[in-house]
Amino acid sequence: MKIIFDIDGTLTDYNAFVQKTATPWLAKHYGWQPVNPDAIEIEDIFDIRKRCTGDECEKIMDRFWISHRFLKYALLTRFRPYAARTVREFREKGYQVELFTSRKKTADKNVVGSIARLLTYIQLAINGVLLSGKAIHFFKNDQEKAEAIIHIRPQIMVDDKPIIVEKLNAAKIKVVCVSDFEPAVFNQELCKVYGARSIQMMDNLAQSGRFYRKLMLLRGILLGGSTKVQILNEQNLVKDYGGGILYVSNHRSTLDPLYITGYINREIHWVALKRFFTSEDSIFNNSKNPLLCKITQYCFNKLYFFPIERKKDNPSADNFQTAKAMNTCLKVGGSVGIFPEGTATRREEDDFNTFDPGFIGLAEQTKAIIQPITVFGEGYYKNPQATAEVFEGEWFKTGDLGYTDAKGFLYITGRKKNLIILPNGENVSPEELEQKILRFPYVKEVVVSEKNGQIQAEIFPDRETEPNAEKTISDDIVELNKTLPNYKKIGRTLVRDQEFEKTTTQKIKRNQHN
Amino acid sequence: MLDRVKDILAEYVGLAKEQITPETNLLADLQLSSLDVVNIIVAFEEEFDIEIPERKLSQIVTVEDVARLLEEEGNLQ
Repeated sequence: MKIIFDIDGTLTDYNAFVQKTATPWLAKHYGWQPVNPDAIEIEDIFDIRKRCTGDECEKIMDRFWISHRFLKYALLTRFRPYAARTVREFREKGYQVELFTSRKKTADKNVVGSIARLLTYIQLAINGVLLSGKAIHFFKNDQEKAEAIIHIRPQIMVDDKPIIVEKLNAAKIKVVCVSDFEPAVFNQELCKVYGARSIQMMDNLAQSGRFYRKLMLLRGILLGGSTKVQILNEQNLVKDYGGGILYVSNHRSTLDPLYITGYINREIHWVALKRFFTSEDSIFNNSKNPLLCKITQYCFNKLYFFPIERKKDNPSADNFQTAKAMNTCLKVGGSVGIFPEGTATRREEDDFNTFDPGFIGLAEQTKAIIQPITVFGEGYYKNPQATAEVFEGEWFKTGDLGYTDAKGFLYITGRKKNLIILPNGENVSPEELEQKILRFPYVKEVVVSEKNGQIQAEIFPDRETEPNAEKTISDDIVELNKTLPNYKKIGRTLVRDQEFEKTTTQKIKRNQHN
Repeated sequence: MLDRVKDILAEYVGLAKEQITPETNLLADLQLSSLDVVNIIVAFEEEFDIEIPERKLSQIVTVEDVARLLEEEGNLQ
């Protein structure tokens, strides 16, 4: 979480300085009187462009700043009461604090500029704000400063200049505009702009960010070891984006989150099974390893991962709280990682599990961008032939079939490998018909396949709600067939009294029921 | 409020409004995930400019619960 403070006018009372020094100095040396006494910049107060030409103005302002005022301003001006404390508090919470200034002369690449920058550092230090040089940025003018802020998209920005506030708000960046850092007042202003819930979330994320940065010092060790990773199409990763990103990946191994986070090098808050947070269970699923369990539990909590229960395990209502937290996290610019398959599909032959579509709504609601990631199994590692087979250029061929309608909406109809090719050459996606049959309220499971040139539907009904299943199914299929083109009509119906055999990921083993 | 909730839910899950009753269970009957439910709730919160406190979210089971909580918060704030 990043917070940026403006220095002049925000942390310091620049206005008072200008009025106390510039006004008498210019009156004494040039006989000028203020035209707009309430303006912020000296140039505006005296409407300087009307009094002199460009070069002359520059010289006059240089004289004012360099002669003695800059030194006085830098070394004697005190921050607003509590301002330094506020900066320090944000750092202690774990925020990455940066200071931006468009202070005159500091952006110059010459001796005067260097002295001005040095004086700024000294001013900060004597006011009790010790930041590394990298955290302080100097800009030529407000325009450049605003552009830099828009590029960085900080979670919190504190500034006082109306023109900056306007520009940032237009770019959908919220700005706190304060002249009072008294904690109660400042917090009230923060809440007014960002909302109490978002502030709480930003604090949590900032805190976990601090732990994350410590952990990343061990990156070499964590990502080293026996596992080797190869990254394809890295150029497609979103970079330098300060808003919320939802990382969506298939799941091959318990170490996926570690590797994805490590290589992307961005703090991602993964959604993980709740048992890792509370019980003695661990990602190593091994009670013989109590230490690893403790470490998992500790890290997951510290990294602010999201504990969730699977949909099929009848989740408790705690899931709502987690989902809400994910929502807020993305809205304040945090990154969330999710494995919508719900579980790891370890074996190559298991292919992918169906993605639960909940994440799409989450991204829509929070306006987060989705970064898709595909994790391949070891069969593809440095195996160009296998890799080439599943790629078309940069695009991974998922094996899904679908079409786009006139409005550009994409519809997925089924898996290519399940496609039924009838003797007359027509192609039918079994999943499409299965979806239609699953809408019958009494149908628990269904597999559509091809048998002797006909389309066959094998149905496992719920006999409790529909005792007379054979008759009802047959009637309903006749009705359904009326809505289908000829080649898609279901020619044969089987009713079974046992559920279908499943794979480890609870998918019906399709090929065994042809 | 119940009516509005039913409208939104019907659109979200692609069902006719009549098929959703106050007693409809969001997870079991509508096959929604907790993410879906929260997306819908947040949409309401934004529309009415209210916030349902996180601890109260665990009271949600049925369609009626959503409407009731939204109404309660609306009256409080």
